[in-house]
Amino acid sequence: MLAGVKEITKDDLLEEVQKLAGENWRLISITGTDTGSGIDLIYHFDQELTLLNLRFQIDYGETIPSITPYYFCAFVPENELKDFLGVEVTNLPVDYQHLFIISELTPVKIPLLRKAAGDDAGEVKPE
Amino acid sequence: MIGKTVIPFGPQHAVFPEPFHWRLVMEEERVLDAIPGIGYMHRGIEQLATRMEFAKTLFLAERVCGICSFMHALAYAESLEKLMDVEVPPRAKYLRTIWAELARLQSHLLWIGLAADAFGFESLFMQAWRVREYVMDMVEFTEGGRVMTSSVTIGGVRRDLHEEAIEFLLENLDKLEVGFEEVYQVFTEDPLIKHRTVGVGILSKEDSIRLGAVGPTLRGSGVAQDMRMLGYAAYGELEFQPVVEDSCDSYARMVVRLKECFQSINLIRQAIKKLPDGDVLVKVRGKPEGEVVTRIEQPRGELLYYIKANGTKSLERFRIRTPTLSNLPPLMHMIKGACLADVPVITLSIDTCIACTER
Repeated sequence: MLAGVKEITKDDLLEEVQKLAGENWRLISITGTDTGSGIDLIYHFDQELTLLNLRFQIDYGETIPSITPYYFCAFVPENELKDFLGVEVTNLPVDYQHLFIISELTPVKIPLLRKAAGDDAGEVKPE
Repeated sequence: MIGKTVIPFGPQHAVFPEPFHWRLVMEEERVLDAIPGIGYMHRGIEQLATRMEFAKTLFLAERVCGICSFMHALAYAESLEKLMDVEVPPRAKYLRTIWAELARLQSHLLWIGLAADAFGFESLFMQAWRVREYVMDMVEFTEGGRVMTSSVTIGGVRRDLHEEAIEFLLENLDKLEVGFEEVYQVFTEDPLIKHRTVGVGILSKEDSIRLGAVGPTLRGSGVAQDMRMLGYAAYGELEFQPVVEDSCDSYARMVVRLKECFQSINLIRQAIKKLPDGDVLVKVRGKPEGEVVTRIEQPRGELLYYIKANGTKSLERFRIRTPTLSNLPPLMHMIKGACLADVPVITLSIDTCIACTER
């Protein structure tokens, strides 16, 4: 089991993040994983080398709120979530429209999403 | 009154060694807004790793970046060892520390040369890279290669240090220290370098935490955080303190890297002095299962690996968060309000590594 995990719900996210921002925690990154039944999201935070992971699951196609009002730097991992897992993030101030790291030429549309997410997700385009 | 102008800066630019784009919104010579653009060399490594056998993924991790190759291999090996409950022999931990510090030295010296070149200080650039060759010789002599050394493996290291290699290291560390001292003096005292860096690209202590800065960028803003303090490899048994500067500008970030070169030399000497006898590799059996977060201090800052495995031969998820990705939002903040002529220097001050960022 991953150490330093706090299980939360999507509805609690902004409140929890606001609390951490008030306590001067640093946002490290956000990790998204396609579990086959949905997307598992982990928000990694650090304070004086202590690691805290906020974790919750969402269904395919479910949107999440951006945490940029509290951590502007979150726009980077949130754009990665859009690129790699197709997760829609609301109120994103810097939105690359699914083209942050991948491009129109990338052969796989949503590279880290398994087939369960949709008909065309994860499929290699024909040459 | 001149209106706003948008200037595309990069992706090919004389001072950027890798493709990196800025969309600069300008009012006369001042930057009002800066939006970074990346994605010119994305290779899909995170996805590729989930289709490979986990032991081979070590070589893939090593190829995330040529400059940080050792650090990526180390982070991957440490992650898998935690997942598989592998106790690495003490001698291997010390060897990993020595090679990690050599990797930091060659990366910092590479940056120092590039920075001198960006300032237009051609002779200093050559001096920095001349001194860097001592490090590259040490890497080659002890690891068997200069870039992709594959010296780390899951369970330990693939090579040992014999007496001759230790003597070679100690001799070259002395030469490096003497040569680097000259470079250090010029960098910290030259009025032209100070003119280009002092007070340029300010990132306050509060902003550095709020914007998620890491490594020398964070320490140059007065925050004493260094992932080596977590004690991975043999760092827990060596004496050192994070190098911190508190002027919060490009000069501070530069000085942190310069002082870290002396710190690395000191750490290698300490590690050689305490180097225990014994094996350097244990056999690893089975397949990884579970999930783990590993953080190590790359030359550019905190590197995070998240690995999830399900007991099969391939990993379920392989997530890499590299330091440059974290330093992009602080960089946007530093550039806002700067002069156009300072944009290259401020961008270089975080030591961007685009190969790592795009993985």
